[in-house]
Amino acid sequence: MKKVKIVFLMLSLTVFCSYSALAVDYTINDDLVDQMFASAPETVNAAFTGLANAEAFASAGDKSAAAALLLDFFLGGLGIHRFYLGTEVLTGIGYIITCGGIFGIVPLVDFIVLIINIEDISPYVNNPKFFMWAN
Amino acid sequence: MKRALLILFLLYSFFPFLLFSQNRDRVSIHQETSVLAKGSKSIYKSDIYYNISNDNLLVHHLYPAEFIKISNRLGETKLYFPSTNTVSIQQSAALSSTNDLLYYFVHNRISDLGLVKEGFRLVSSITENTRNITVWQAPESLKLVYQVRLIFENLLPVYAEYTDIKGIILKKVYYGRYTDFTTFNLPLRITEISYEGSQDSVIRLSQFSQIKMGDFKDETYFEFKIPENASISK
Repeated sequence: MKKVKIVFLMLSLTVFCSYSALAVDYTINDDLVDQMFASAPETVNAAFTGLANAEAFASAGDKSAAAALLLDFFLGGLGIHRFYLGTEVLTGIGYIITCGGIFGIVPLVDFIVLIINIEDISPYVNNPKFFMWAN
Repeated sequence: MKRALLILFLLYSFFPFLLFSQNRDRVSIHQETSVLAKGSKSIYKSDIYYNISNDNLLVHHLYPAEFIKISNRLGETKLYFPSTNTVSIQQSAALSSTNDLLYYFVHNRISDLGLVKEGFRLVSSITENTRNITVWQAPESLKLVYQVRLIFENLLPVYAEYTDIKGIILKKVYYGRYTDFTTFNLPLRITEISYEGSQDSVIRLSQFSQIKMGDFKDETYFEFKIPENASISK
């Protein structure tokens, strides 16, 4: 029932945003956003609490593209997917420091790159670069 | 009588100085970020300690895991985990405190919010009454993001929109509840909606509170030193 409510609220928000775009009003309905968060159950992300053991992430075995996508999707702005794929500890932390990797652009690009290359994500495993897709 | 008049005169003369002489270089902010995706939310809490004069930044992450990040404008960054007394040290321009969103607001460098630094190029600027709309083209190296549109109301950014080459919106960011801190304005609420999947979206809400400026009775985190016996990890 809660999920139905959240879906309904998300739909309302989308409609509101579309209406806002038509009305050339660049604001968002804060109350609606608050309602969505209030009605959603909280999950504590184990990946984040594993930050203290960031090296364990880097030394993990096979990397799953799906898991990396999931982590990026949920927490891209926090760089957790980079810890999972294996990187220097502070490359991942750079995402947090830059408020989501230069205002969220970097994790967004990461996500799309991972989707495009879902068959072979090996170039991004144990990649120390901040921009994992850079040549 | 003369002495009293002299004291009154001196107080009157120095009143503005006394009023504004407090150290406004130090700012502390509490940040709470919630991420809503796939019907559930995750919450992250931290305290930010920012020294405006030298851009030294300390972020004390409180929840769900405790750790401390210290960075400066050169990108020298330390990450300290109190629970294990370990520290990671790295230096990279990408890790500079000047890449933090807070840097742009406290220094009033909000006309492009750091896009120029990332290689974006201004392609158009339109002003309508109190509103200014600027369009920025991404550098070719960014590939997947084509344009960013920034909307300003009364010279403050209120909305950002990222689109790909087909004009499909990838992300919307709403900056709201601006508060005037005399030397800078700060949005106390930032809502980001990322349209990363075809069916769903991710909403990220960052709220700032307990903003303090000036002299701090407790300077623990402004003067924080990592214990000398901390072990260094990669």
